[in-house]
Amino acid sequence: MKRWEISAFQAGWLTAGAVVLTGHALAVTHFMQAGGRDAWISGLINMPLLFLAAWSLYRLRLIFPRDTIVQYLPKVLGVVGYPVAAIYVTFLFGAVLFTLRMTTDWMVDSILPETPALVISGLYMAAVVYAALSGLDVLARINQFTLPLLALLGMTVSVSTMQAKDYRLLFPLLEKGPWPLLSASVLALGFFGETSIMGMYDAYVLPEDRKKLFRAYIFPLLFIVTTFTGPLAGSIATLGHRVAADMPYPTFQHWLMVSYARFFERTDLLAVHQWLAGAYVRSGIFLLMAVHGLYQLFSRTTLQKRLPAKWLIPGAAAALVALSEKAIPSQPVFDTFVLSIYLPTTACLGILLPPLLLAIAWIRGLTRTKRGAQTHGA
Amino acid sequence: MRKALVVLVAAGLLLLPGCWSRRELTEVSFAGVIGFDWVDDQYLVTIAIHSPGQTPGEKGQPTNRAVWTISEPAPSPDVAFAQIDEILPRSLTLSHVRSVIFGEEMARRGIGPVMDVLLRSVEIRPTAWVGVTNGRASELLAAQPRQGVMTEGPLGYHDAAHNRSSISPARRLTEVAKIMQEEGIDLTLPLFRRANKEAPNPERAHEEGALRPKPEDAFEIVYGGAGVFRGDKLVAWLTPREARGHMWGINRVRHGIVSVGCPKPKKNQRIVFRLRGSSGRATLGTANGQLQGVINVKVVADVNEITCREPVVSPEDTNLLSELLARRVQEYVLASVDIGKREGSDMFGFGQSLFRRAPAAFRSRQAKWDKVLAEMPVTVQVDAQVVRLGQIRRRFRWQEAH
Amino acid sequence: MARELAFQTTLEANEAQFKRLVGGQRGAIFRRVPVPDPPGAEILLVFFEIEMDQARLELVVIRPIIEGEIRPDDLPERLPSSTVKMKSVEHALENMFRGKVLLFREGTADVYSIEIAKPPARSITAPETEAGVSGPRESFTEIHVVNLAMLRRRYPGPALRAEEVWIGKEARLEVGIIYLDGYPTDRVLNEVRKRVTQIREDGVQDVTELTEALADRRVSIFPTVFVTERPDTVAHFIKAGRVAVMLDNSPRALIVPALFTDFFTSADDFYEWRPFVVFLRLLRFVAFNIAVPLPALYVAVTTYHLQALPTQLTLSLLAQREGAPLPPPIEAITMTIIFEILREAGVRLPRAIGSTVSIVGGLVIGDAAIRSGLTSPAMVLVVSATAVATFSLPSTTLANAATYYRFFVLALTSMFGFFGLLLGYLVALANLSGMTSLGVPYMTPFFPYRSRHLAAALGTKARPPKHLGATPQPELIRGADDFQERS
Repeated sequence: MKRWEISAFQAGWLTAGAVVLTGHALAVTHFMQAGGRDAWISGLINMPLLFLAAWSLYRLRLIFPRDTIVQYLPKVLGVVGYPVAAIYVTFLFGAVLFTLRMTTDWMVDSILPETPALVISGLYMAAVVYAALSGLDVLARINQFTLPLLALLGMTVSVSTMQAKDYRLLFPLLEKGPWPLLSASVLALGFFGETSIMGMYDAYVLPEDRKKLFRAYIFPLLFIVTTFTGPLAGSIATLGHRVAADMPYPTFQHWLMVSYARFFERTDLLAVHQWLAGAYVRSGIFLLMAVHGLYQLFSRTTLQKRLPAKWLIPGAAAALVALSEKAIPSQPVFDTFVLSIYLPTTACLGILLPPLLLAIAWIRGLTRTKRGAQTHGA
Repeated sequence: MRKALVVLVAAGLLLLPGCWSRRELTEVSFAGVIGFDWVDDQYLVTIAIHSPGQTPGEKGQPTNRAVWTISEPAPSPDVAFAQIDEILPRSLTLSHVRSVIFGEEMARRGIGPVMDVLLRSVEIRPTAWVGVTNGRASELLAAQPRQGVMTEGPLGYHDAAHNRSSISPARRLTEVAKIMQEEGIDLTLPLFRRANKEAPNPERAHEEGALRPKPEDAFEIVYGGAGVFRGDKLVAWLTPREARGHMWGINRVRHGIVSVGCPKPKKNQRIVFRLRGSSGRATLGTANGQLQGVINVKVVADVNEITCREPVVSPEDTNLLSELLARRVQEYVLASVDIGKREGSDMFGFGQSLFRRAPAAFRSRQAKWDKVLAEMPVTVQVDAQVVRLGQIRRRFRWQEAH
Repeated sequence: MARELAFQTTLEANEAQFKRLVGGQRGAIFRRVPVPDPPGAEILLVFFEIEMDQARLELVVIRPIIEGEIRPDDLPERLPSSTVKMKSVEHALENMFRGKVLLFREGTADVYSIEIAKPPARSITAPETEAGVSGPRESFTEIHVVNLAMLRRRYPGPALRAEEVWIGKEARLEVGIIYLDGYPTDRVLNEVRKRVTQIREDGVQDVTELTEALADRRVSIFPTVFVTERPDTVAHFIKAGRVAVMLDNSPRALIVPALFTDFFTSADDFYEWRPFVVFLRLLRFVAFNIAVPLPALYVAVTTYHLQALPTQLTLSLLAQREGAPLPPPIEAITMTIIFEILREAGVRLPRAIGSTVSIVGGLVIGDAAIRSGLTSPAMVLVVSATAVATFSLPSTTLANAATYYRFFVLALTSMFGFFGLLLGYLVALANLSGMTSLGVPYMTPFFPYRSRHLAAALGTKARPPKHLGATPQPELIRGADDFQERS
């Protein structure tokens, strides 16, 4: 695959666009059920850890300016790095599976009740494969278009349901002690940990000055925490925490509630746009990076030659569609998958791993960053 | 490669049987209002369905009913929907339901189970209005409106009424769910009443083919008042005045008319105020270790009518009007407070106010909250302000000339 | 013709050779002009009479030679300044086919061609497809030199470069590559040169046939090359750093690189009041976004998502659709196809009756379709609105692309509702994002985001007039292209 190039700005936006959907639509109900009325604070509490993880990724990138995380894991951890990298690549595929399954479930539940789920997944993944085959720079560009639109529409919904919100419902805080909040926060770490995907493509960011690069790591963080806290607090304020916790698609319900000036009603089709646009870029980038990581994992073999991306990407997508249908037969099973496998793994890989890697790299003396030698070539 | 993919997808699309979730407009019956009753130990679900072919402007005078109702008894609401769907020639869709009405028996039994069905359904929009009626919802839905476009159906025009009413607390489905699931507050729902319809327009009685109302058309719907709930069960009614008192306490009054007797009360002599704005707050505080409820209401009004003989507006007595208004408002609010205390329904949210500040204090009293409410002193403080007097200041003093 | 041909030294031999090559062809004239001194000497003129300006030939060449004003030895200095020495027989043949006169002298293998052509051509007329209200009303003609002259008049500065490139193998034609020196990046310029010189096809009739060679991808729904017939538009584009490609015998110019926003500009935009131009461009973009999904949206809300419209509107649509025989998807596809047929028919008819027939046809057909119950008024309204939106797009290639996408999206929506529509849009977005025009990303300035270019694309920033010797304005294309050097 040819060497991609994106700017730091694009990389930051891409991370924001890739991860925002999880906290906004995909996993909200899990956080709500764990945290109850206090779930919305979980994003804010996690900020220090998130900063640490983002900063670690940034420093690691400075140490290894042209390596993706899969490539530098073995460099830092030695032989242990390979299985860890394998787990990381699996996580990337898992993210695609998660998105696929959740999106399909929602489409079938709320929009197209009669259509078979396989058709929806298949069609959706076909579109995603098209985007993934176009490459990283194209995905970054698509994201540059969809993300501002998503943010704008999200704000519209938030503003137009303002009259139904009663923020006093967020009180009393911590009525049941700190444990609900903490359990929600731990789960939320899993969601925030997805930002580590930036470690897969920051190697392709053009040489920037340090400040711009650092901002590119911090921006997605702030964006994601805001888009996570806002709708969560909004849901609790609109519906009360008991109802909101039980809803699998609270943000969709928000769209159903939009009734502004008596003409801006029935806008739920825009909710479909929100979800699909967010999921599209997300699935595309995770799929592309997963396959890319796979190639890098097996860089010494002829995998890339024997099975070039234009076959592997659709093939992996088809496998994921089949997996989503067959291996996850029901929603409770899926919930278990998310709660006990996906979110914890992502939390470890995304939040714990980068600082750990940085620490080990420092111990091993690899931290001599090449100042000023930020060249990149073909 | 991309071309192959596109071709593959295209071929797949063509080969698929396709279009599973398709429902054509002409295959569907649109439900406008749903009524829930409890009759003979089971649910009676009534649906008011829009009649096709009744577009405004197509015919000069619509002669048919634009909305017709169908009722089905069933052990659960969802079963009833399925049964109705079977009966109807066109399949039922609930995506245009505007209102949900609970009959009195149903409400007294408890609306919780029905709320579960309503919230779970993806078709029923959470912005649907919810109301309650004294009597049966099935009869209410069958009544004709006095005014309004026929296609809206008997309760359709209440969409607008809901929003601007000041004698009934308009509630949407989400709000009902929110109130029911919160600690320390109880629900009130707007009341729809059936009332006798007037005789048909006498001037048009001579017209050829003039319609005479059929017996079931003899009722019309009046909106006003409220049903008071405790938990999910209806326990009492509020008259329109009491309902407004309640709405002042929950800050829902926007406009309306308040009529006050003159200082020297005489029949047919009134002062009528038009509200320009009001706000209210109900809080629970402690005074001397005792729980004390306080309702603060602020009212701003204009004067619309003064038919008192004696002067009520004078330089020395600028506050008289405001006082009169304040007293009346206080009367209304206290009336509703009394009902709440009597029935053990915390419709002002005193409990919620305590819960937010001191959750433990509320929790310790939660089991006996109705007793706490009954014993708790509640004071109502009204700050009324009369602003404008209209085009004539004092009063129309025609009597002085004769 | 792999034979080695060479000029001969005697008139006899040359004449015989050329008679062999072109003698049988109609209009090939071999004229021996007697030279007075030395007596009996002659000069041979070979040309195609159809392409000759006979009077001028007599006046400028033949008479002076006959009367001895020009002697053979003075040739070629005394001939009109466009005289060129021929490099080979093929070169001579080419010149002859292009209407020049070949001049042979006895005793030498030097052959010259004289430009005295008057090829049949149109005069300069007003533009047909890009007619505007304000601005100049010239359009290109089929003669390359005339077109170049028009351009030079519009940009009378030294920066305007017109490079001459020949394409084809046997019947070569001249292609002009026109740009302002220093404005396009070297990469773009070299790429254009490379692609043009690689064209091997003979007898290219119109410059639009070169689109495939210039475009980055041979088959692509959206146009990546801009076509114009107005010299002022070309001038505007080359001032923005683009490169124009023109072909002899073709009254149009190609502009590369052409980006998505370029196809929303019309010729008048440069001459209208600027704030209004901003509004117009946004309006066109809105029209594009109506022209593509509108029928699909109608199908989606009447078939899949009945909850999407307000109740009153839904009931009204329901009343209209009572008794309609075709389901909305089929109806939509049928009506759209009928409108496309009407549009195509309108193009073929002679101008005088064409528009009348289209209007009448549309009205009558639409009305009859409604009355006979074949379709509903709402559907006709939808299709008409779509058609009008398509017509408002300034570029026909863009309108054609919109039509393609409309069918694509309609097909997807017919089967999967709004989900299908959105997927269609997302795929279109992915397609557009990946497209490049001569290596420049197609969706510049939206993404990658270039603010100054975006301002220019919206029409909010005036294209500054360039004075002689002023520094070129790099941001418009250069910015997108210098991706590597800036962030």
